[in-house]
Amino acid sequence: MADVVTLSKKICLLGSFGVGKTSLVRRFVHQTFEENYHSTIGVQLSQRLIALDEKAQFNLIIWDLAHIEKYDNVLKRYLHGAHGAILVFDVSRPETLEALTPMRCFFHENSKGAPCLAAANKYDLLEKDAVDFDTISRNVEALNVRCVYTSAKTDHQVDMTFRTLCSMF
Amino acid sequence: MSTVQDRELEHLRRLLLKDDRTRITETEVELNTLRKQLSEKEWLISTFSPVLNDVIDLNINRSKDDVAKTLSPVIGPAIKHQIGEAKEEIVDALYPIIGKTVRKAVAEAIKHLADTINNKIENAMRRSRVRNQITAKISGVSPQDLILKEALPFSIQEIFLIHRESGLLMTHVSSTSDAAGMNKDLVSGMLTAIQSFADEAFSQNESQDINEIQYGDQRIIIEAANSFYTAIVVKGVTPARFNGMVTRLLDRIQHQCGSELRDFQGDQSCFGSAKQLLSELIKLFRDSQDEEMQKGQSKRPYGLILVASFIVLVLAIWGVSNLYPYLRTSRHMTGLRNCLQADGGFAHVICNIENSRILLSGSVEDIKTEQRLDSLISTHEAVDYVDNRVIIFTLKQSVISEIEHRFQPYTIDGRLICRLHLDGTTVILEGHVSSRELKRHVGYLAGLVSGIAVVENNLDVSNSIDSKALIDDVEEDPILFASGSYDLNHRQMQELDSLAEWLISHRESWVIIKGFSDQSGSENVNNQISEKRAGVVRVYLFNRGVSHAQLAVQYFGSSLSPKDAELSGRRVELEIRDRR
Repeated sequence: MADVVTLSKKICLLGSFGVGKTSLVRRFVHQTFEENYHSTIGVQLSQRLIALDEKAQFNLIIWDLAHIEKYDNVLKRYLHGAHGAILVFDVSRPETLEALTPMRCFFHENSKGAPCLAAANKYDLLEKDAVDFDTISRNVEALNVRCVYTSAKTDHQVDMTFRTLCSMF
Repeated sequence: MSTVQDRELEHLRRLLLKDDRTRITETEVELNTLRKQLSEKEWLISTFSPVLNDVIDLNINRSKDDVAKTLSPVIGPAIKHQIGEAKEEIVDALYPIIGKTVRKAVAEAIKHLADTINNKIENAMRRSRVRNQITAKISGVSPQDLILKEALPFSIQEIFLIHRESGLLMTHVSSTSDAAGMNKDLVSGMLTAIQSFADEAFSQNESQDINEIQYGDQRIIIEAANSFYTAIVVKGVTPARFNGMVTRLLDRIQHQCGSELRDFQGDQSCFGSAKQLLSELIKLFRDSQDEEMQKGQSKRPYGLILVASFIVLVLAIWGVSNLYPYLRTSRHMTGLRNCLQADGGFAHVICNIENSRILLSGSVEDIKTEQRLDSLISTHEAVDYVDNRVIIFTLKQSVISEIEHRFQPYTIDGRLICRLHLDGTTVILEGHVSSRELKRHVGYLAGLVSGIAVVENNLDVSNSIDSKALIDDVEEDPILFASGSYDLNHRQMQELDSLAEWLISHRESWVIIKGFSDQSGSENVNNQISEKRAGVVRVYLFNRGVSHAQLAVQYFGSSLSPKDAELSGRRVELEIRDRR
């Protein structure tokens, strides 16, 4: 049996306070969900292997970054060397989508143009009729990134979000 | 006339100015040649370079301050600009030169420090000096190193090679198998995050790295190169030469894996040679530790031999002084025991040796037998070595009376529930009882009888309860309650007793206790009362000896109760399950 080639990749999760970054990571890595909210302080690291095919796999080192108001040098250093990022927002709070624009720019400036995509999280909170897809689509288009509707609670497209990002490396 | 004069004048001018004109012509040619050469850069360099350095040196020596004042406004910004434009290239270019220079300077300082320490150690450790000098000569190590090595153990546990920018692990080696449970990728990332945070939070002007993190008796020594850093987990006191070795190791890794380090994209497999170098470093210190251990093991344990010799001597003296009396007593006891066995009336008399004397214990049935025993001892050669503690005990009648009294509650139709056999001070229980608890209790009662030393409990537990009938009864007849009540009545308790007894003897089975209420009252109240009803049954069974693991509780409020049957709604249903 041929050896499997493993490539380590650093992925950062960015987004406003309480949009569900840690829940997405917990769902993706540990297949669990916790209702209680725990604020992330600084950075929390997790790891998971994703098989691409029989011969190759990605060793994803996920940097779940706490939301900070100011884009300072500490955040800048955390983003250095990132191979990709997931920009997370809460579909029930439009302001969290608006906040992604400066984050997108900041990530782009400090990661040498690594790919990123948006995760429209907490999709389960809204009835499908209540989601304003048009507005979300318009704002995401302005970000110039792909968008995946996710729910860490119901495990809706969480795995797919990370796999989509991996396909962009 | 004038023409003639002109000619003569011209001739005279020619004669007079001939040399000057020739010189002017030559000068013009030379001037043209010089002009042409001045416009050629190569000629200028080749002409002036031999003297230009001398001229500059001369001028700098004459007025150093003036030169510095003149050049500094230009050179400073130029260097700064160049560094800003190509920082990485300049660092790459300067690292081998500056690194070596700095190392040389630091090495000199360390050497000076080591010399000072060596002098102090030499003075302080004169007692072991001769031994160390000899060992040092043999092993080729300086005596001071030897002393430090013996006194200060050191080992490397792990080495991480980490990409400086992304924090991704490039390679890792370990000296222990404990590292298998460690997530090395996360350790690498977290170390990098800590480095980044500390650098931004604490460094004021220039970028600085964390050099060391201490955790219990372990330390993480961090040594950074240009595009990567190593985190070395060590135990013990770091030898003076260690930092130098690590620096040289980083140089070698940089040299061998330069392109892989620069273009790292997460592929750990291309650092085989770096891993080899790191393993060699671990091996180097592990070998030195092993050598020390071997040396320690090969030392002759003179102290131990001395202590062991002393113990052997003491044992020998003790043996001589005690063995003879023991052998003598043992011989006498064998003789006495043979006499007692030959008599046949001393079945419950026991012979033992205690403090080199023969101890007779146990019982005889009457005073005549006791007198016969005294007579036998007094005529035996061992009479001076015998302690007689035999008692007279009319066992049977008293035991039977007490058993009848104690076992009064455990009779059926005036007969005991089990058979009792008496054998001296031993009682043997035989027969059948319905539960393990009853078996234990009967055994306990037998042990309380006066004069009984040993209870052989051979009772069989044969459950007389019909399992199928009990399960059918329990599952088909729910326990009903009055409105708002969760009290059990006497009949329900008796039924639960049977169930408890059955569950105790069927540990592989368990019961689901389901509580319900009728539909009167709010949902909240109904839920509470159904929970309490199920809880009461659970507690009752538990108090009868059923284990926690056999009892599961569910409650449903009024959700599953029929609207037209209020009484049957207030109930607890039991469902028996089997784990097999």
